[in-house]
Formats: sequence, structure tokens, C-alpha cells
Amino acid sequence: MLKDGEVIQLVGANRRDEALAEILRAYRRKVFGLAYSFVRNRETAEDVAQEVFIKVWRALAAYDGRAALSTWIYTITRNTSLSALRDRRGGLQTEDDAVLAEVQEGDTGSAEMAAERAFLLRLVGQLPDKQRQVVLLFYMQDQSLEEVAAMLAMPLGTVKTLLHRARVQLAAVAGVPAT
Amino acid sequence: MTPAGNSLDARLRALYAGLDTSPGFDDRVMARVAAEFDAVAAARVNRALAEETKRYELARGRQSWGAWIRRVMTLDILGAAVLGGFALHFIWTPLSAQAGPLIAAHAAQVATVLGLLLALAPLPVLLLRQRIRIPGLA
Repeated sequence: MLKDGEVIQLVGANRRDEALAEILRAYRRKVFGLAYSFVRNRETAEDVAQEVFIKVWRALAAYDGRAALSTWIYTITRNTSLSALRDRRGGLQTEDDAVLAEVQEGDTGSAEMAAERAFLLRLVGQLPDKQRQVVLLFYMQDQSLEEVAAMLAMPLGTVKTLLHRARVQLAAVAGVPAT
Repeated sequence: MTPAGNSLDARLRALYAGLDTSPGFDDRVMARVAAEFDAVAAARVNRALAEETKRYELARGRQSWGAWIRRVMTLDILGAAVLGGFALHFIWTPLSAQAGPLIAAHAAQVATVLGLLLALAPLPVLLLRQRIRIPGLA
């Protein structure tokens, strides 16, 4: 786990590129996941993630550790994602199915399993935005609820409620137990 | 919240487990950072060059009249000036007989115009000097 102090030390030693490499290692997937949860388009999410890390690199020299690095990065990610959504509204197509196809690449499971996963993905896609975001971030890489709350800048209780409602709804439609 | 073996949890985890950036993402970010760093450095060099050129032009424009005269007073220029002087002398000598009475008749007006010209001559020079004076270079 990357510590904020290490980043400050690297920046202080004029090793901003190394600091960014460490940040990339620690936050790449989280930033991409958070961006994807907003824009729901892989290509746009990658563009946003790239933009986020460039912004982080530009601002690193001024980073003094007063705010947690993660809070800072997630805030940049949310703002950049919302900005991308505003810029591309109308021209942006969500592509959960395409992502599923990619996720399943190399999957040796049966066609039945693939169909079931596609079904589940569509169900998640139909959830209200906040619930969908919480589900994606929570399951994408086993984030803790606290981490998901930090990523979305929501109170922990709200995240718990959203996840609970989403699970109940998904379980009901999918015909599986929610807990 | 996530007991082991839970069917929905397992399915959702499997659903998003492979969602990640495309290969080479980190390299692309680092390449963009390097390109931006180069662009920033190049812009800084260009800015410094432009400032230096401007400073040089200003300094050249502010050189003293003495230096300017020393620079233009070459042997060629001196030769041309002497030749011009002789030419004026030879043209003026035959004309002076006719122009003399004319000048005598209008001496007062000629003297006034010449006086005004002499009085106003430094004005354009002062204006020009004020225009090229830049704080910090004086």
C-alpha cells in the first residue's frame, strides 16, 4: 500500500516521475473503475483515467499531504469523469455488453454461464446510477465499503444502504439469495 | 455482507474481476508526461530566447549618438560627405547671385522659419527616446 509520505518524499527529492509510477501502480485500477462507473464506456474511462494521472502529475509539486492522496485523486477522477460526461453527452454510448465480452475473453465456461453473466450485467446496468456505481466498485476488486464511500464521496451509511438495496433487487430478479 | 460461497457475491465478483485498463496503459501515461515535460521545457526556452532578443533590440536602439556616429563614420561616408560639400559649393556659387537679393527681401521671414525649425528640432528626438525607454533597462 502506497503511503502519502513516500509520495511527498519522492516529490521533495525531485523524483516526480517515480512518484507518479508508484501512484499508477496503486491507483490505476481504482481510478479506471471509478471513471468507468460514471461514463460506462471503456475507451472514455481510459481517456479520463489518463487525464487524471496527467493532472495528478502536474499538481504533484504542490501536494503537501494536508489532504489524503486517495481523497485528492478520487476528487480529480470524479470531476474529470463528470466533465467528460458533459462534453460527450449525446455522443457517448455505454457499452457494458462489450466490456462483458472482453471480460469473458479466455473464459472457458459454458455458453450457459456466459449468458447468465450477460443477464446479470444487464440487471446491474438497469439499477439506479448510484446503486450501480456502488455495486461495480464494491465487486470490481473487493473494495471495502469505506473505500467505496471515499471513492464516491458518500457517507458510509449511504453506501451500505445503496449496496443492500441493489443486492436485494438483483437477487430478486436473478432468483438467488441476497445474503 | 460477503460470506464465502454466496452465489450473488461470487457472480458479481466474477462479473467485474477482469475489468481493467488495456495493456500498456502505464507506459502511455508516462509517455504523455514525458511529452508534456518536453513541451513545457521547450516553451520555457522559446520564452527566454524571445525575451533575450527583445532585450538585445532595445539595448541596440538605446545606444548613444556618439556610438552611432562612430559606427557610421566610415571612410566611405566621409568621402561622400566631402564630395557632397564640394557639389553644393559649386551649385550654390552661381545661384547665390540670383538668390541673394531674394533672401535679402525676405530676411525676416527666413530668419523666423529657421529659428522655429531649430527650436523644434530636439522635440522628435526626445519623443523617440521616451518611447524606447523601458523600466529596468535604464
